[in-house]
Amino acid sequence: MERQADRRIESAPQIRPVSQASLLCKDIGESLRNWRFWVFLGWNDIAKQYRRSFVGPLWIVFNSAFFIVAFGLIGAQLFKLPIADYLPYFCAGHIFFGFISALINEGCMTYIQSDAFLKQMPYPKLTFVFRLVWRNVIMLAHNLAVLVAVLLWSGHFAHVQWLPFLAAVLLTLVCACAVVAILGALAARFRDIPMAVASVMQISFFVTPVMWRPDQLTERARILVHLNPLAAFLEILRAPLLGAAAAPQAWTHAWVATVLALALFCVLYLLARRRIIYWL
Amino acid sequence: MVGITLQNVSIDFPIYNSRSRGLINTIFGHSRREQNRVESAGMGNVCVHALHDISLALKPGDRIGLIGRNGAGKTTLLRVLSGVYAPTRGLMAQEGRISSLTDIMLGMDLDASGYDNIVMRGIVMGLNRRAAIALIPEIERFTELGEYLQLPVRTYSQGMLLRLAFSVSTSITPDILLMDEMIGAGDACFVKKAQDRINGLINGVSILVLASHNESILQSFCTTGIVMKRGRIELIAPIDECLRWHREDGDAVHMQI
Repeated sequence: MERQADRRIESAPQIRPVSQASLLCKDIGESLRNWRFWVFLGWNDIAKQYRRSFVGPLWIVFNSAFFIVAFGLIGAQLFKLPIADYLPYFCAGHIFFGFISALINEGCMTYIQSDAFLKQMPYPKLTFVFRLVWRNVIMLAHNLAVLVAVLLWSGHFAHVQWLPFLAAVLLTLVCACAVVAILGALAARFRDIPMAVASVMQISFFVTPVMWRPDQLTERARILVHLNPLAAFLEILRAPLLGAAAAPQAWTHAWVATVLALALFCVLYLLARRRIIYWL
Repeated sequence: MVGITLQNVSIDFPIYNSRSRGLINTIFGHSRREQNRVESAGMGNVCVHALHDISLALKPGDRIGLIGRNGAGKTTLLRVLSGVYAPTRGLMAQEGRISSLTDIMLGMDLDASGYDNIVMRGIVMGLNRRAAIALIPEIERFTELGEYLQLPVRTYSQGMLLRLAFSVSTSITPDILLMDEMIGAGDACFVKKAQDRINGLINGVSILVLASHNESILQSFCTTGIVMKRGRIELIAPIDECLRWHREDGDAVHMQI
């Protein structure tokens, strides 16, 4: 037993604890510097899904094209709107709502799904957040082909306001990263969250103006739209594509939501960083 | 300088939603108080004391064999050394590139071809794409898989798959190598090649930590032993002494029963 003593840290340098905030910055920095890794994992996630199919990722395009055209035709009749107005509206709404809701749903599995990696090496945690967001950006890029086709057909393409649109995409991505990281950590600890989130997202498709327009609601019901952050993001993404400026309060709402999400993410990261691995 | 230092590190595992507090109390409630490693943490949750007060300094040239019975904390200690488990108490510092070969298939995809898998496994081990592609010719030669490498690896036999994973995993030499059980692969002819390769890898690393139950493997690769028991380090000594201690301890336990 005495032998332990002489081996145990004879003249080991004193280890100094590091501040939590600097660890957060380090994680973000390392994850970004390692972009090749999560870009690769993201591509691979998509490739894996379609590896044995002949048509491959084009299925993403076909799937949404079928659905958008089919429902676009019905919706235009239901809501008594000209098809050249309704189809681009619904198409943009459906594609971006699909993007956001997939991020939120899959976000719950960020860390749970990457447990094999996290248990083998101390990868920076945000690597897996970026992997998931990137994977969904690839999906979105496929769907944008449908959107471009629809906008060209309806004549909206020439009037797209590119700068506000790009700004909206960037803001959405930043907010998405924060939300995915939050949900990933919470869902790793509380395993009921993925189910709860899935059921909320299902309802949110109907209470968010994806297939209907806010002006079709009564004044009172429209409060629902004003309180819904998904509606705000949808508005800032969709309006510039249809050649209009998004409502200013939608931009404010989206900014507030993003700042709140980032703040919550920072707090949660500091609390959960060390513990996530024990929850997996 | 390459090395890992642990100062009074303890690991307590929260196990949530286990719903088995009653059962666990029945099993462990009767054992002696100081030996309890599973403890109720309220709300139906349970806390496992996986490691207790571990202090350790690993220096270049160390060849460490981790010895202990199942559940003694060997794998947990390896995960602490790799940086995966942040100590719940105590401090740890490490320097040097670490590679942990606990799951040599990590990052591989059964539906992808052998070539794709070489690249994928390489990237997961920390290479960039170009460096991973550069591994291919050497691995082609070493695995002798030939044109099979063009096929999806799901068509491989278990042995072929293991050969591929083994070859890629051993083609990168880190500063610190952590292994949970010795890896090896293949049929009789391949075993010899695999042994040479693993010898080369181990000679190339600065620090080796190998957890194993196989005495001859421990004796041939390690110089120092660490005996673990119930989450504590019982003995740090030359490997032969540790193995003897562990054997006698095992006999003693049998005598008690």
